[in-house]
Amino acid sequence: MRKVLAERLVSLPLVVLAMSAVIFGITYLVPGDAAESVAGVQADAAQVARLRQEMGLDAPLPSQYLSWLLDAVRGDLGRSLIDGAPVAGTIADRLPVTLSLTVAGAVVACLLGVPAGVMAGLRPRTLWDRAATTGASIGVAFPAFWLGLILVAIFSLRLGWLPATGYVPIDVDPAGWLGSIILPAVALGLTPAAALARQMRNSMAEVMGSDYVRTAHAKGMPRAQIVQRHALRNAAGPVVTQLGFWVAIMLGTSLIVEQVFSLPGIGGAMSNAIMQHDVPLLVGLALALVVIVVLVNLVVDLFLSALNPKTRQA
Amino acid sequence: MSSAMSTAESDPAADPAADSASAPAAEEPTPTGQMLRIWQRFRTDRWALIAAGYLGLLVVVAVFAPWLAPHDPERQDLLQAFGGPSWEHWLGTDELGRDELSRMLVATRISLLAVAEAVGIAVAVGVPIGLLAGFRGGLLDRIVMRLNDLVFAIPALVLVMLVIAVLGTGLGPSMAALGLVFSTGFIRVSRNAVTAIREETYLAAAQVIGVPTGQLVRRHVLPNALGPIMVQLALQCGVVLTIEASLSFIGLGAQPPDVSWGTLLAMAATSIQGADTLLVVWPGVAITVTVLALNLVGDGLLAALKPGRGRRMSRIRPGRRRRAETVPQPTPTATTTTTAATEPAREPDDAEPLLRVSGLTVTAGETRVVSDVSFDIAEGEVVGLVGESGCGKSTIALALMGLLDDQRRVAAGSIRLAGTELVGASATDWERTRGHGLAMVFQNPQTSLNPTMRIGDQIAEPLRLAGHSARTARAEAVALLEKVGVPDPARRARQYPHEFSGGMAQRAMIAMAIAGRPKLLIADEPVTALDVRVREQVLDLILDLRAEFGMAVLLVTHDLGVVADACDRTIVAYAGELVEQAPVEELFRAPAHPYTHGLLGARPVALTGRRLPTIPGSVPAPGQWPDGCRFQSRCAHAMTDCSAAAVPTITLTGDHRSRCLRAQEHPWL
Repeated sequence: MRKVLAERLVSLPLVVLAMSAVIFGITYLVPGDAAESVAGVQADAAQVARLRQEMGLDAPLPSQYLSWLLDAVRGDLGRSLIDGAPVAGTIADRLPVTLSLTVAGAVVACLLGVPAGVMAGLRPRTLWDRAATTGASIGVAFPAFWLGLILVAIFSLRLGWLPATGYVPIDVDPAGWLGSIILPAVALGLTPAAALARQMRNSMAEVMGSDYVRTAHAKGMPRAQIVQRHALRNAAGPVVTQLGFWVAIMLGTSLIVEQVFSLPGIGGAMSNAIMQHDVPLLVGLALALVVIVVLVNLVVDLFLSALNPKTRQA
Repeated sequence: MSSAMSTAESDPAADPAADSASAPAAEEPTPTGQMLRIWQRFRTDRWALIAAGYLGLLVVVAVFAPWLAPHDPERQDLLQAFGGPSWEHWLGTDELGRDELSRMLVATRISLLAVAEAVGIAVAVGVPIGLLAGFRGGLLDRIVMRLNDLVFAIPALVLVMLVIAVLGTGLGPSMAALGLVFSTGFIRVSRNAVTAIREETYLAAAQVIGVPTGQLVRRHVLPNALGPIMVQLALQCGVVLTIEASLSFIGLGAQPPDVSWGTLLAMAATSIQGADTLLVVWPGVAITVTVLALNLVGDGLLAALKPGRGRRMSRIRPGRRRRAETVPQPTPTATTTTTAATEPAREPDDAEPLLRVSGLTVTAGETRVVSDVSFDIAEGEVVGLVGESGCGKSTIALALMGLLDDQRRVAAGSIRLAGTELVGASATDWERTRGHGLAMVFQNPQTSLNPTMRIGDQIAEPLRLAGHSARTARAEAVALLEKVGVPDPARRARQYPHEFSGGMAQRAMIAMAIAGRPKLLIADEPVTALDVRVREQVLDLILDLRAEFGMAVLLVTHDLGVVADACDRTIVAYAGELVEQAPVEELFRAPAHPYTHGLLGARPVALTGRRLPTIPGSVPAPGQWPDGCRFQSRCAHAMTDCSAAAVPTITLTGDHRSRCLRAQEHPWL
């Protein structure tokens, strides 16, 4: 495990570096001139040209990237072209919202998907299995933001149980945070829950039919202990991998779901940045998300290697 | 499901990978031929077919939407705003009093066009790049795939948003962005399809003889890549549809006057407060059902590409109390009565042997896979159970352990261990019996050990169950490892199965099996999977332990050499029944069944190692057993009587029984 960690700690900055280059390269193609939008409508051509030089926009792409990178390493991601606010500050304000939504969504996904999958996998081809499998097939098809709208319509507007919009930071009021995050988290987590249930079911059914589970039976172990001690741990691997995939997807989907519930996360800022061609903000937001995905992958890999003695010791 | 698949030894189901890889080689492949084959398998999946029908209908609706719409989708009527469903407006009206059904129909058209544009671009960009990378290989392949991995690690939606920033918002540009991002999936799939067959000799041969690349791709590569691409297509359409709706919802995708399902949702959302929430329902249902249909079609295609996979999985369902009828008394069928008649009457007193199996019949569905098997094992006795693959040896062994998978069950007969009936026993009784009364060693030690648990813990586990403290159980596990000849047992106990060689792993399995001091050890081909050099050692180990603990051993094997070395007595199985039982020396000296004789003849000759001709033909599969003697079709000595009626078991001399009409005259000797 230590070796995995060491390897990853070396490769991780390289991956982030490569990703940042991809992101920077794409946004370089964004139409519009940053200098013009900063200078404003009244500025004459000379002013714009001077500004362009000051901002380094006349330099070739690699050197622009390099100077951005040098600043970025020092924590300076530049300023928004629209309101001049530091990009790093915007990220610091908004990332916690998106992250807490994604984490809450992942928790919902696990709480719903894993038990359902385990139960179906332990009783393949029974009524319960059919029900769970069918439910999962349908659940995977739900668009998260639509589910969010339906939840708002039912639980906020009809029943008035939970707020429809707004966000309460967790460090201000944990109960309020839970109230503000629960509907978006369910909306976000249902599709991954269905996917996890499917994976868990197949994994479990396969492990329960494995030779080593047969061995455990042959030793006279009771079924409950076999499930606990032998099956769950071996079935968990593919599910953890799947969860890793889904956390990355949820991070993207949360950008939409946030906007259903008017949560002040990355999503709203990102939409605005796109429509206003605010390149520095766009690069910063995208990079923040990518770094999170890379870190999630790291955690998943560490977890997998902890589960599997072969890689743990390798 | 044919019962042939259910005997443990035989798995005649074609390997799907080999099937799909060799298919193009066998017949001149064409894309249409491949499509036809996929379709024939696909259409057996009812749900996928229904889903495909729905999607077809949706396309028709999209094409004829303007003519199907009952109203002008743009005609406003503010007096009618937010009218619920009515005869005039089936789905109600929106905030401007426009007919929702008409708008939904038009939106269907836009949504499908959007998906078609995005996926069309994804295919047009992804497939050629993927094919090229796979075909050329080398540096190009590595660069493409590395870039692909990199892009793949960015959440698709984030990447799409970045590309939208470049291409601009609106339906056309955003779908182009989606298409570019999703081309990565098609690059991967088509590239992998090519590399999968790159190594095939026919492709190399075609290249050598100078078949033009274009033709090569069309004739050999595309048919192979087509299936995976189609699966990818169906699944990606679903994802793209969802993302299109999401983007339109937040205003980056389709924008008025273009209405897609996503824009309809966005408009409904703004008026969700207090207004008619049904407006939020329709577009969402349309999206969900369509995505569901696409997924079903994708799954159906995937299943059609891999026939025989996934659908069924055999599992162990040990010790269920199932059907009271299973308990003793062989059913009075033709075969069982003969057994009853020829075998001496038994009294269930203390003269009963350690194990008494009588009339054991195992079925898979309606098919019998083991029929009317009766034999005894005395305390401390080593009995060999021999026969070719597919004769039901392993099924018998698993039935004794109560470990048949859920496709097979004991339909009749009795298994008595030390006087206790096991057929029909409760799960708890089985758990109590396994490990202590009965233990089993399997053929493949590496897969039979839990890869994520330390060897010592796996051995100690049943001891803990029996009430030992963690410390004594661990010490006992080390002692057991030492006893089975694992060097440095204290260290080895802390290791995992992957750190054990095959021979060592089998020793650990044996240690686990003897931990509960069983009265009978069932060893199912215990040395077959091992390196030739360690086979004898492991076999000797089992015999030594038998001597030490006084346990009986049932040795399941196809190797008569093993039987000669190790066993006191031998029982021979053929096509699900026992054909001969005899003490080993007598069996080798005077086999009383032509099948046994054939097996002896098929043995490698000791010195030369050369195999004599094996028995011609093969074991009939369960369900295809002939009337009368099951060996008749392969027997050189068959008579007309052999096919007339079931052959009874005949007792020759004391311990020697045979199921052959000519056992007394033994013309084969």
